[in-house]
Amino acid sequence: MNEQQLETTNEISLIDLFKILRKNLLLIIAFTFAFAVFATVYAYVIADPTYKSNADVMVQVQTDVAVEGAYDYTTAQKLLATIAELMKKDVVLIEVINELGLEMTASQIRNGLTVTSSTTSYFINISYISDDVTETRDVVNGVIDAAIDIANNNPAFSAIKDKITRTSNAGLGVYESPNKPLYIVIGIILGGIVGVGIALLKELFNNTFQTKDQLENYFGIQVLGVIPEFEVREVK
Amino acid sequence: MSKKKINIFQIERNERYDYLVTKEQPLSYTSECFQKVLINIDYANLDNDMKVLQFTSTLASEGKSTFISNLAYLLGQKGKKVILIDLDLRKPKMNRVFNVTNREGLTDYLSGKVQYETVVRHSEEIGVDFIVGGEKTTSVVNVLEAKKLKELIVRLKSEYDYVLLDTPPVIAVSDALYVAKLADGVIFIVAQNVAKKSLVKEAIQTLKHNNVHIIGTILTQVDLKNGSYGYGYDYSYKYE
Repeated sequence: MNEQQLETTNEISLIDLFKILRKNLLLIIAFTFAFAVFATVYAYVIADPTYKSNADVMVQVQTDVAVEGAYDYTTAQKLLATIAELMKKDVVLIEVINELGLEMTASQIRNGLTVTSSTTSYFINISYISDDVTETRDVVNGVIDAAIDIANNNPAFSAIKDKITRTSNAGLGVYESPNKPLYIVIGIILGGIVGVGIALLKELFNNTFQTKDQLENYFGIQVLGVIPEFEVREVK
Repeated sequence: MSKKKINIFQIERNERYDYLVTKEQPLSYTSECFQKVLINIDYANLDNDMKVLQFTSTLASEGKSTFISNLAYLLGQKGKKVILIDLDLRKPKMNRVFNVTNREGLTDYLSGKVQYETVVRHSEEIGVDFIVGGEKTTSVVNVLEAKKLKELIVRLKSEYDYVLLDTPPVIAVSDALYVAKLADGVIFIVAQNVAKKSLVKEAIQTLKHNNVHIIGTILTQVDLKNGSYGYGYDYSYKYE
C-alpha cells in the first residue's frame, strides 16, 4: 500500500458517515426520544408556570402651564432614563411591598421587574413576571403608583415632579413561560445532537477491524475473503 | 468491548453449527463469499503444496467452526477429498457441526483406544470426512505434541487433498502454536466487532514469532445491513 492509498482509506466519506448514522439509528432515536420526554416532563410538570403583566407611563415636561402644548421634549427625553431607574430603586419597591403587604425583598421584586425606556419615544414600559397571576398585575400597578407618588410628593425628587403620566393599567398576568413547544423542540434537537455525537464517538473509539482494507493495511497479509453475518433460514 | 456486545435489537448470532449456509442457501450472497474464499485459497496455493490448513482466531466466537465447515463442504462439492479435524480439544465443536457425539475422537485414537478406521468418519450430509475431538483430556499440549498425531497428519496428507484443522483461539491458549508445526499454513479468522485491533495484532505477532506461515486472513460476521460494507461489496467477481 502506498501513502496515497492509505490516506484515502483513512478518510471518512459522507457515505461512511451516513452508514454510521444508519447503524446507530436506534441509539440516536432513543436519545432524541429521551431528551424530548425529559423536556416535555420539565415543561409540563417540573417547571413552574410564570405570568407577565405590563403597563406604560409617559414622561412629559410642560414648560408653561398656561400655554397648551408647551412641552420641553429634550428634558423629557433626558428624564426618561432617570425615571426608569427610579422605578427599580428600593425607595419605590419598598413602598410597593408595604402597600401590597408582600413577603418579599426589594431585590426579589427587582429580579422579576423589567423597565424599558426607548430613545425614540417618551414611554416607559414596566413589566413584571411571577408565578401568581394577580401579583404580577398588582406589582406593575404598584410600581407605577409608587413612582408617581414619590415623584409628586417627595421633595427629594422634585426634578421629576408631575412629569410622569400613567398611560395604561396592568391587567391580570398572561402566561409567559415555560414555552412548552419550544422546550420540546429544543429537547428533540439536543437529543438528536447528543445521539449523533455519541454514535460518532462510539465509532471513533471502536478499535476493532471493520473492513477488509483495514485488516489488509494493518498487517500486510492478504485477506482471503469477507464473510457476512447470515441468518439461519429453516425453510428454503 | 472485546466480546460481541449484546444488542437486543440485533438477531442473535447463529450458534447452530450444523447449519451450513453454503448448503442451505447455495445462491445467497454469503455462499458466494465462501466461493470467493475458495478461489483465493486456490490462488494462494498454486503449487498445491499446502494441504494441511490450520484455522485459528484471536478470541473465541469469531466464526471458525462455521467457516471451516462451510469451506469443507464447498471443497467436497468441488470433488476434493477433504478431512476436517477438531483440534480444539478444550471446546470441541466439530461434533456439533456433524451432529454426532464427541466420542471415538482424536484423543481416543492417540491413546490407542480406537483404530484409524474408526476415528475417521464420513458425513454423507456434508460429503467430507472428519475426526472429532474425543474424550476430554487435561494434558492437551501433550496430545498436540504427540508423535502419533504427527504421523496421523502425515498419513492423512497423503490420502486427502485437504486436511483442515480447527484450533483454539491464539490469545487464550498456546494450542494453536503447537498445531501450527503440523500445518502447512494458517488461515486467520477475524470477526468484525469482536477482538480489538491490539489483540488481533498480538495474536498475529505471536504466530509470526513462531515462524508460522499465515496464508491469509478472513473477515467474518460482517454486518452488511448497516455496517461499513456496501451491499454487493466486490460483487463483480461473479463475472470474472
